[in-house]
Order: sequence, then structure tokens, then C-alpha cells
Amino acid sequence: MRTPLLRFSLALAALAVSACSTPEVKPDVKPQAAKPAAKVETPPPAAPETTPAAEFKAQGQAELDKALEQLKSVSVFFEFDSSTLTKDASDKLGVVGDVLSRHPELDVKIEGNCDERGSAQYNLALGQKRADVVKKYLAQLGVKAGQIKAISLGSEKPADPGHDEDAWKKNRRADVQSGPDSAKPASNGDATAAPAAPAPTK
Amino acid sequence: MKTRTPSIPFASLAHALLLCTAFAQPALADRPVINIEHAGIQAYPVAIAPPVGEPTSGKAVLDVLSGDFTRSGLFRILDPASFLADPNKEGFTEQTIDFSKWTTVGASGLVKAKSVITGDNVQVEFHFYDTAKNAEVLHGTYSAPVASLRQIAHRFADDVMKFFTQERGDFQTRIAYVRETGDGKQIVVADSDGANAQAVTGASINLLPGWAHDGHTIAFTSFRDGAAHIYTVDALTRAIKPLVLMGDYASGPVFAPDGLRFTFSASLNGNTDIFLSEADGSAGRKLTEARDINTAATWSPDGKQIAFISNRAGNPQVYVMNADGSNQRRLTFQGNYNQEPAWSPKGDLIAFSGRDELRSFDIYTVAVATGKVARLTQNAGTNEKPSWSPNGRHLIFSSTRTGKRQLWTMSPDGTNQQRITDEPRSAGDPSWGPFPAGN
Repeated sequence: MRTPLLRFSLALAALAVSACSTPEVKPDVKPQAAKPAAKVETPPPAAPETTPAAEFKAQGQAELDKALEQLKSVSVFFEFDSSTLTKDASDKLGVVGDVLSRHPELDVKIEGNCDERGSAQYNLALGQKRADVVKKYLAQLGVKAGQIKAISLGSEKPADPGHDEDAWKKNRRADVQSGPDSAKPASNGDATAAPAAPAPTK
Repeated sequence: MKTRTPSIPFASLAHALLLCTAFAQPALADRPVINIEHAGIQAYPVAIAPPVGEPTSGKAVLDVLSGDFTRSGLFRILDPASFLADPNKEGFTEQTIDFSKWTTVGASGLVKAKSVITGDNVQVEFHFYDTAKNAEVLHGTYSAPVASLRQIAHRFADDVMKFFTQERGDFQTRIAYVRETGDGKQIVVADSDGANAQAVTGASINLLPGWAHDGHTIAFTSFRDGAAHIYTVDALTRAIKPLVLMGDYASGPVFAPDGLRFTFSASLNGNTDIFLSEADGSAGRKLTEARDINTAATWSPDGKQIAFISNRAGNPQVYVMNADGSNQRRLTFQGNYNQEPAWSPKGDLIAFSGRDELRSFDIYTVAVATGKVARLTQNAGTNEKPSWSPNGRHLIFSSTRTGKRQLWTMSPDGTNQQRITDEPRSAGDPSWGPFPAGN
């Protein structure tokens, strides 16, 4: 769990300087090349599904594999501008809740998503709401809060890039992502990975 | 022979690159004043004569000036094909210009320019004439490195606007927006006409740029730590720093008019609320306390009120509250999906985007005092994310009307809609920067 942290003293210091400088952007500086971002992400493990297995040999590889399989590719879908769980969604999450309750060593990340309609900012909030609704439902089924991390991807990671209702209904969803450490960035090539980690200084 | 006041030096040189050597104008009473307070004004027809001097830079600078005049909404540029005067026979002094040849083609104003290149520098001399009075009303000479030629045109355009409207022009400002690339979305900074676009972040997923008042720090929302949080980038150095990392996500910082406090949205315990951060670093204070989504804050220009979006009534609508979170009240009642409020610099209007009966988004304004809604776009794709220029004379917004999402500007009454970007994939989420320092 991240400690609430407001780090803007540095930024405010930056605001204070060079109030008189020109707004010109130096044309020869490559984007992002100058300073590394504050946090350097390491790529997620290649195959996170296999790592908990070693720790729980007593349970048997087969059972764990089955549990992980049940957590794989679980998506629940929502109506437009809604974060209410449908009957179908509750049924699917019932299975997830059962698996996670039986395997407190497993963590999941819930990613809330929206269709492309509406603003990026509102969709971040709506996606978070969808993820939180899933998290809350799983908690009601007995899953420990520490096993679930709920995040929003807004409308930034559509499952279907189309611009019609067929695409939109696939994109109004919450995905269950399983892994040994739900706090790690998703491994599906999404926004979290590469560009934030600058290449070694040339 | 009329008298002219001696040159009026600019208060300061905001663009250190630009040097103005002369600028004369007649007494205030002689100024042709364009009344800009009423919608539907007659655009002032202006002829821009072919340049003299070095032709390439002369043409280039007048092209930029022509674009600025067109986007201003105050001027209508006449077709040069209709011109009767021979530019090679006319000079710059009133005595050498046959103004009847310009009034005949419908010109109320006439612009002439001469460009001289010396080494890496260019010097442009502009003259603006009132053809009805057979008189030059202002002139200026500007020099800059050739690479900053466009800035010379913007500078003169701002001086013309100042002359006609007695308000500071917005052509030397910059914009930030989100460019879609093959790999993600990057924050881009460009001139007010879309030129000189430069990426200032990489292309992970970077969203919702918002300017600090220094004119070069841009806050934005990025997924670089796995969830969306707020960072700043310095457009001069490209240095990126975290600003708000709290919550399951945080987005959309907007700086207060005092330049120190800022609002942002964050979700802490299953609900997105608006927070206010003070300059001294004390923790963010929650301003909203509803069960549902509260986001997209925008400050009134006096810093006393904040408009925002809430879906507490079942769908997203524009609300207003005092800057301490008190007196929260709903402002929009039409439509079932209103978002992206942007409070005008003059304080009277809030622009927003709303979903219409055809389920596409369009730009509207709502009068803060009366709640009266005016529609600015219609039947032209999806139009979103209005952002005001610092003098309130323009709105920038995104539109899909030409296929790909691009950025457009318009006057606050919806007239004079002009496209300013031509991104290969898309441009969206524009944010208009502040006036440059000085000037």
C-alpha cells in the first residue's frame, strides 16, 4: 500500500525559478532524454504465474495451477457510465472470490476500464470505480483486502480498438490480473512498462 | 500632416529574441476600435500586400500573420488575386500609397511588410494602414534569428490586437496537448497556431496536460508507476518529477490563479474526490465528500470558486463550489453527460463538453450567473476538452470532424472554427498555456 505522499515541494521550487526565461523549447533536445523519471521500473518477471508454486509444494502443483487457471482471463462487463455489477459479473466473481479465499497467498490486480466515449479524466474515475466495485464484492466474499489491488486504466487500454457499440461493450470492463505481486505493473505491454524507465545514460 | 506620438517601447521583451525598434501610433481617439464584446461582429477586412525585401522570409512571416489574423476572428483576409495596387510601385509612406486602390477591393485595413536578412538574423518592418483615413495607424520593426521568424509574426499580431482591442493578444502563447503515437500517448508543446510542436515526454501513456503559471512547467497524468499519478515536466529541460503519488490514482492538477495552490482528483477509498494542496506542502485537503465521482476541477479567475464534474445526481454534470469546498451546487441541467468544465478568464462563462441527443459530444458554454447554456459546435464529429486562451478570446478543443481527432480553435461564441494541427494519428486534450512572462 502506498503511503499517501504529496511531493510537490520540488515542483514548486521549479515553478519559482526562471519566471523570466523564454518559453521557447529547445529544438535539439530529444524527448525524455534529459532526466530519468523519479521511479525506475524494472520489467516484471517473465512468467509470474510459476513463482508461487515453489512455496506451496505441499498443496500440490496441480491444485495451484488450477487456481491460477481460474483467475486467468476473467473479465466482467458494465453498462455505459455504470459501475454496477451485472448478474453475469457477480457469477464470474464468485468463482474468483472462492479461489482467492482458498488461496490467501495469491494476489490479484483488478484493472477497471472504460469505452472511449467521455473524457480521459472522467474515465479514469469511472474505471477506478469499476475496479473498486469488484474489489468490494470480492471482499464481501471473504477475500482479504491485501490480496487485491484495484487500479484504473481509464479508456487507455481498450480490448477492442473499434469505434462502435460492439467494441465499446467489450471495453467497459474490469479485468482480473493474477500474479504473485499485484503491485507490479501489468505484464501485458501496457503503459506501465518501458518508457518510464529511461535507457542507461548514453 | 498628422502628428504621431513617438515610439512606444514595449514594457519588456518577453521574447528575448525579438527586438522592436520602432512602434508608432496616433492618439487613442483616432484608433479604429473593434468592438469585441458582441457576438457576430463584422470581421474587419484586411489586405496583406505582397512583401518587399527578401521574398522567402517575407512571404513566410506574412503567412503566419495571416493565420493569426484569421484565427483572431476580428479580421477577414482579402484574396490577393483581387488586388489592384502594384506593390513594386507603392512605398510605405502614406504619400506613396493610392488608398483608393485598396478601398476599391474592400480593404478597411492594409498591411505591408519588408523583410531583410543579415547573416542568421531577420528584420521585419510592418506597417498597418487605415485605408478610410489614408493613414498609417501603427508600425513596428522586429528582429530575431531566422529560426524564430514565426515569433516575429506572432509578436506583431499581438501588437495589432492590443492596438485594436486594448487587450493583450494571445498569439505568443503556447499550447500543450496529447499526441497519440504508435506506442502510446505523449505530451506535446506547440505554438498557439500548432506550429513548432515538440514532444516533451516519451510515449508511454501520458494524459491531461495542465500548465503552471511559469509558462514552462506542465503537470500531467501518467501511468509510469503502474497506476495513473501526477507528474510535472519542464518543457525547457524535459526533466520529469512526481507531483502527486497518493491514492489508487490521481489526475488532472489545475493551478489556482495565485499560482501556488492546486487542485487535483484522487481516489483513496473507493471514491474519486477533489483535493486542494497548499503551497507550503501541507497535505492535500479533500474538498468534496460525495459517494460518487467528483473530478475535473477548474478555478474561477478570482480564485474564489471551483467548478467540477460530479455524477452525484446519477450522471456527470457541472457543479460549482467555493474554493474551501462549501456551497456545492449544480450548474448544468441539460443533457445527461456533461464534462470537462473550463472557467473563462473573464469569469462569466464555463465551457464544457456535453453529449447531445445524437450521442456525440459538443462544446457548450454555461453562464455562471444565470445557468444559460449556449452551444458552440454541432453536427461536426465529436468535440471535446475546451480550454481558454489566457485573454479569453479563443477556445481550443479537439474535434474528429475531419476523421482523425485534431485540435481546433474558435471564438467563445462558436464562430471562426479553425483547425491548427495535422497529427498523423490524433491530437487531443489541449491545454492553453499562460501569457509569456513580461510584455
